[in-house]
Amino acid sequence: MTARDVTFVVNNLRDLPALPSVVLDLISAFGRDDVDVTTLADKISMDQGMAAKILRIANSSFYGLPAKVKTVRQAVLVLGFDTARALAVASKVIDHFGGAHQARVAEFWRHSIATAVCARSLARHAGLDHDAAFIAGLLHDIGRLVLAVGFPVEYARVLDECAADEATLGEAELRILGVDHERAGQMLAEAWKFPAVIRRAIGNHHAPAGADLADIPGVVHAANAVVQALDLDGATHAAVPPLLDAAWDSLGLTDSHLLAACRETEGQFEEACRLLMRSEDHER
Amino acid sequence: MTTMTRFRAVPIDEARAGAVLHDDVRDTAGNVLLPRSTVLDGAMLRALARRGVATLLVAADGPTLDHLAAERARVRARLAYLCRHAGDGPANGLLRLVVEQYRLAELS
Repeated sequence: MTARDVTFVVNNLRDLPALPSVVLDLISAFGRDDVDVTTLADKISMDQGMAAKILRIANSSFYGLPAKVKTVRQAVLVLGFDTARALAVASKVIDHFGGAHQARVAEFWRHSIATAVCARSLARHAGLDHDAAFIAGLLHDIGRLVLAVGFPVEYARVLDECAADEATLGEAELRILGVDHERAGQMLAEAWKFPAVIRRAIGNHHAPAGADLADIPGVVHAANAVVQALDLDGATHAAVPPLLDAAWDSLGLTDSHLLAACRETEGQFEEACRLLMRSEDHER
Repeated sequence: MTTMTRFRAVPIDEARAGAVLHDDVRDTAGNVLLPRSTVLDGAMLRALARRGVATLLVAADGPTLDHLAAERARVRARLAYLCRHAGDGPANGLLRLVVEQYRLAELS
């Protein structure tokens, strides 16, 4: 691939439609403590689809709340501020990119949701922000989706090479497209002005920087490997990416934590997919 | 080969990996999703639930020792395949060990 081709790919990625402003607002507020419940509830309420989904999630068996939640503000209060924000963002992003009814896209989101659920579990055990881990896990492979959507012919060749075990995904992407999904995802995360820690979790999820090993990027790196090992969808050519010793050691987790994360991930995975991937359009 | 004559109906969310199908599982159009005598694993159970299967007919006596041994071998082989690019460092070894124990515990 020539340098000109790489530039074409990069420019094409920059032309992607922007995320809805409500999602950008909610994500950019991660790590800030000056946003109150009312402001968050107002932002979610402004988007009817997002409001409906957050109410359905709050009233689902997943959370098993004793009384019916009727307003977004109640949902934010009972779910917790950060959790409500993470779920609202997750459902909106999945809806925004659409195509959850297409097998390939559905498979992508199922892996992303599994990684999100696992990252949340590992982060909780490691004493880190589990809602930020959930969002970073959900979006860690977003570069893969935009490369596949933007360059379907080339990406089919990438997947063929992987299926034939001729290359890892990143190697095949670099050879055929000149950019891999980590770099593509990082560019998007920068364009969308995500918080720095989420940008790094997306851009370095196969090899987090040393300073990030004990933080959200390290959690997402580990979660990505764990969910592939759990083989939740039984994808024929799935492969567990290398789990860096330094990343695992830095998180300070034991084998008991890992076993608990396996149980929690598998136990919550299908319900999370059902809640987050069901389109409001399909319910009308 | 022994013919299974006793069976019980089990809701899909109560069925366990290692159970043996007494009869074919079909979708609403009559297509066979899994044939009789299949030893169920977690992935199969999740896939059937996604396809809307609510109840399974499984052998009342549970899996035979041969069935369990075959399923354990299948779990180990699948995990070995999944980990083919993961390397053999301590963290990858721990991940593989813990997931294998987790999967095999479903069969005990």
